[in-house]
Amino acid sequence: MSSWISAHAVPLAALTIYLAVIVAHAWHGHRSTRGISDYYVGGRSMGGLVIGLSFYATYFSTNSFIGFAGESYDLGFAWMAMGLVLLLCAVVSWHVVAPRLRLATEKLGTLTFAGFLGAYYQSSAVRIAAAGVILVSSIFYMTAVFKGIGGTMQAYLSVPYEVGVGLVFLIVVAYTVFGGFISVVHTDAVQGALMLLGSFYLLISVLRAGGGWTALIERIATTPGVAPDGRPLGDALLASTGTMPWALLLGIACAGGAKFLVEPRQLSRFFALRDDRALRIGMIVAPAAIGFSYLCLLPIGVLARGLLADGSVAETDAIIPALLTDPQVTGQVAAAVILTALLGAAMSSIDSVLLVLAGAFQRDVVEVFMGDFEDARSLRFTRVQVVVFATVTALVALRPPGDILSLTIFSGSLYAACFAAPLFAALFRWRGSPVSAVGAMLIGGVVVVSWSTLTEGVSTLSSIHPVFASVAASFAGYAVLSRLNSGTGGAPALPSTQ
Amino acid sequence: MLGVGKGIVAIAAVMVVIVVANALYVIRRRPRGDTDQ
Repeated sequence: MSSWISAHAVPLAALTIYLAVIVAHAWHGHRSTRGISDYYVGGRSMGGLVIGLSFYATYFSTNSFIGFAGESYDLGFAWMAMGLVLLLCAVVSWHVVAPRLRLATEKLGTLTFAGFLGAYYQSSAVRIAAAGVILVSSIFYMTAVFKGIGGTMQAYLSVPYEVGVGLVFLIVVAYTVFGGFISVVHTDAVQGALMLLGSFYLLISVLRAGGGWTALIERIATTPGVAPDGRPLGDALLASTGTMPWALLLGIACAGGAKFLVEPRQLSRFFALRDDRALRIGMIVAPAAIGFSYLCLLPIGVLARGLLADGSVAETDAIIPALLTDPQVTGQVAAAVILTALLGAAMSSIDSVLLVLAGAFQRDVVEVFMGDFEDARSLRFTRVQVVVFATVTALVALRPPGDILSLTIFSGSLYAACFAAPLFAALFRWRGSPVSAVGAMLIGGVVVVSWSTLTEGVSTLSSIHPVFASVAASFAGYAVLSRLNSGTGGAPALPSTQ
Repeated sequence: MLGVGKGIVAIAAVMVVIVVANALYVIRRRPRGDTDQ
């Protein structure tokens, strides 16, 4: 035990300091939480800097630090297009969705995403259907994040994978249960700052270990092997057209970017913005953090080609852990900073998803069936749901299906397929009804899950990414159903954002 | 960006331009003042 502690003294010291900061924020959140509105949306009184950083930190999890960063090992520098698409989606989210959603949720007095859709369409069915989508998607997503951080702690701290998952589980559950949204957003802001530092540190460490940019590029150019299109692999890794067709790459990027526009854990940040000034600060902070981090992280995988021996990593998810444990790449201090950033990345995503998940189940399922609880009881039950869902997903993560990227892309695709049409229809007040909203969710969900089966053998259709097909089908379904049900339903007047 | 495709360099440059242009746009835009209390 003592030899383990002395071998990991630096990262353990960094983690201890980090945990002390987390505890302080959890305590602050706990003291500031006086009711259900504080626990769910910080009393709608939070500033733009913390919400902007939280928006960034919530999106960036181990899937960005490990999955996305490692992916360019296979796909080459062309994977940078992912960063551009994600940045654009973040900007659109803050400029198009944030102002409208903030005002609409304030006017309707809703605390959850499913609650907002339910209130807008004046339908419990819409509310429950949206909560169902959140439950399914969140469990996939959290499983992926737990897997990522469990593997990293195993690689770097030499602890069993299960212990890594268990530690993250205990810490996140503790501060999310105690401090709710206020605690989550403040810890996210600290974690976001750490992640910016970690992204930069990782890139610099790789460049330094590889003898600089030019030396690394020269080594990557001589990578043995052949790309799928017949070019030498070294050429394909450096070219604008990498080893993956552009249409497929953009499909993956759009599926990932759609999360900024439709995913409840991202959008719930907008509920909490204090005023227009906070909104404008968030509009600057969030895209800047996202752009900077992706510029640093996305080339890491391909640059690792110049550092790691060919065939030394079995899958791209193993690249970052391999770099972290290579003393030639990261010294003890650098590795400690990056490991802490990774831990922050994982926890800042898990905490937000947990709150959304628990809130959706408590407010939009339990209380729809059992009637509204009084605030204190609703708060108590939400805290119980946080523990329950964290336990379930941590257990699933012990035997996770698929790799990190495919799990998170599927989760993002499902959100886009189900929520894009009813959400944008609500924000822009298109004609609609509960039937069109639930129908659009159902159509989108079915198409995204079954697209590869439906199009098997039809090459022109199967080359279309499921996210495009499902979103298009969902919007078409919404339009047709709203026309057929034009006399039913209705929506409350929403405030103008003009 | 020696040795890397021009398209990749352009992508990195566009990302920087978007971040800067977004910040300038927000700073110069007239505040809405909608729900400022």
